[in-house]
Amino acid sequence: MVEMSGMKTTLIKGLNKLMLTCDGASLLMDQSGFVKLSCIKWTQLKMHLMVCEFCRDYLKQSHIINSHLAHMGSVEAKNLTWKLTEDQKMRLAEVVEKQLNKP
Amino acid sequence: MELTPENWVENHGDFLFNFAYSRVRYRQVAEDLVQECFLSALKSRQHFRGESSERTWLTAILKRKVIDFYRKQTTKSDSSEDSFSSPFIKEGPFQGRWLRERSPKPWSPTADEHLNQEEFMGVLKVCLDHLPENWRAIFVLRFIEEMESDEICKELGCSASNLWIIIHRTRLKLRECVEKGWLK
Repeated sequence: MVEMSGMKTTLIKGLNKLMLTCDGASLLMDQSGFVKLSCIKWTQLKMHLMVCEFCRDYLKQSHIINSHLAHMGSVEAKNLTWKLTEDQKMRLAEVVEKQLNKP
Repeated sequence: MELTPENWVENHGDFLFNFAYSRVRYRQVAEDLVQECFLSALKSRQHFRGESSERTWLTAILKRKVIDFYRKQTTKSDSSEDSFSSPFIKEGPFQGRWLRERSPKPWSPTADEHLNQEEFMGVLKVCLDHLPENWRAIFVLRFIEEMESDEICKELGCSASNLWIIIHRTRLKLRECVEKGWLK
């Protein structure tokens, strides 16, 4: 029984060396949108995704977050969401004026 | 095209403040950056050639100021490294697999159906604001400024591998935070 358990552990360790861990797979997923993965890494990632439901969810959720981040950037830039207060404007105007009047 | 510094606050103040605030998320810091931008612009106004608009020129100066601010943030030693709690099993035969209680759970399909869904965006914004300073800096440069990773490394003086580790950890933290807020 002890021997079986030991074999199982050795087998899992061996498989871990061949297969990506979830940590490694999620790192590759984060990189894959920006850098081209090597053929080996790409294959390892695909194999991992075939067997790991959690990582498939991670991939889907990363896409959702990415699209919302891109959308957020453009909306905030377009909409002037944040404005200076009148006090801040006055302070800035004073600084500019002081600098302009420097001899 | 001539510069009109006396009208900068009125004509571009809000635009520049919005630009800075959306990147640094602190009103006072954003104001300071806009002020530094105006002062730098005044000092180097003889270099303005009129090839771009006044606003474009000021925005380029402000962008440099934001990056300088980020550089200071990333070189500051902070506890973000120590405070990162990995969602993966740390040792044993299952090392590197998701901890069951922190593994990704399926999200509601509406999260990706409505891109501008305010509730989701609200959760995401709160989560971004809770990231450690230096992580958010890298994240903003990569995802909002869309800078290439080697450019970010050059600007912030970090190695490519370190950059990817930070991006990876930031995404893990952000995903988990969004999930908690979204599924609540």
